[in-house]
Amino acid sequence: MKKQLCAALSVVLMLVLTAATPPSPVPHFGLSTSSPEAGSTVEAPGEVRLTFTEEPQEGTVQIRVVEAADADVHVMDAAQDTENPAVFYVELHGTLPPATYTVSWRGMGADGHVVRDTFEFTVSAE
Amino acid sequence: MSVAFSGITGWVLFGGLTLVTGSIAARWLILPRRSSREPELDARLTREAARLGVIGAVAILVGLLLFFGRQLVEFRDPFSPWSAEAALLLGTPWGRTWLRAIIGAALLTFAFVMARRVPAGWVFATPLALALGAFPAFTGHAAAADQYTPVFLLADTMHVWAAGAWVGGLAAVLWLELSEGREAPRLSLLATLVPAFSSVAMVSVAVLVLTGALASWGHLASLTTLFSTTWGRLLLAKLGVVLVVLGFGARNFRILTPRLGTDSGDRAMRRSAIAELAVMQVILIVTALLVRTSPM
Repeated sequence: MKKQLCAALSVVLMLVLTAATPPSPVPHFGLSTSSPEAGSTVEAPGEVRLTFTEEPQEGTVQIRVVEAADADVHVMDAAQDTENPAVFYVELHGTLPPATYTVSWRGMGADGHVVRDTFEFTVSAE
Repeated sequence: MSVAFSGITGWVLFGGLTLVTGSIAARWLILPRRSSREPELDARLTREAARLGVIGAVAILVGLLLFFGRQLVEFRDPFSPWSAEAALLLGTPWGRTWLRAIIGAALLTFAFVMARRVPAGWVFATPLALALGAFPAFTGHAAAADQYTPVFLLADTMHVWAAGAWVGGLAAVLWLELSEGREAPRLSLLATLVPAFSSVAMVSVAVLVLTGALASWGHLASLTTLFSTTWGRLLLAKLGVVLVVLGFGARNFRILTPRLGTDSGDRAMRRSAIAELAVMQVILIVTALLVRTSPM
């Protein structure tokens, strides 16, 4: 009798949980927005700024800005925004000459998933 | 990193966790509930349970090393030396949790070796094994929850404990039965071990259902994502295999348990339990893939 009662309670609880509004689902670490935007053409930016979907694990974010033509790495170290911990940026030293640049980034979410991706932007001649 | 390597890594780690939890369950929950009391045999079986714990703890060590290797390969910047990236990874919260786990697994191995000689070893092994059960929660989806994080961490940890008591408990019952058969040919122990294990299994399954439902509720944005995402489809696959295993369990409980104590009944239960344990390995592998997949 006790076992049947436990089983029935379990089923009821499962149904209640299924029907109840869930909390916001577990976020997954990834890139939300960037500046410059992916695929955009811009005047030489002073920095590349990435906004992630969640705060990454400490010490895991790396951002590289590479000129597509000669694979010259311009920047390596990423800094965390003091106001929004999900935002990281790299300052670009000097003015980037007109070219297409590839931004490659890596980070690890709170769930241990390592995510890496790339996008391109172009610096216009003017 | 290949899906196969992820599956193998997770299977070794989860397999180790279930074996050590099963060993603990055998020591504290299954052996004391045996209907017949034979002090010499009980002492021998307790030592055998500790031996299973040693195997599980070593599997955890191997699983953790593979886990670190996999994480490092995924994490590594191709322009940096491996050693620098390994040091960087160890400095992250993930790395610090991993370090604590590997130290815990080494101590657990030692505690189980000790438990084979002195009962005090169990006092050290038990909290260490339970603490290691929290490793998947603290390095997985539960740790990334925006809301109710402590609830999800506790639920995931209890899920691992319950899975360990169920899968590992069954492994322990078979291990004790087969090892005793090696020591000296005698009547099967299943008639006293299986009824003691059954009550542990029933409570474990109830905990698994509740904590699994809670985790799914937290991870799924909506019921449709059960069918539209890889995570949802893996969860459905896992539930399908769980149903098969529950079918085995029901058959063992209703049909085979009453026949225990006879040669044919014991043989049938042994075969059925081995098959059940084999199917349970599929659950562990699917779970290993599930924890590596984004729920979104």
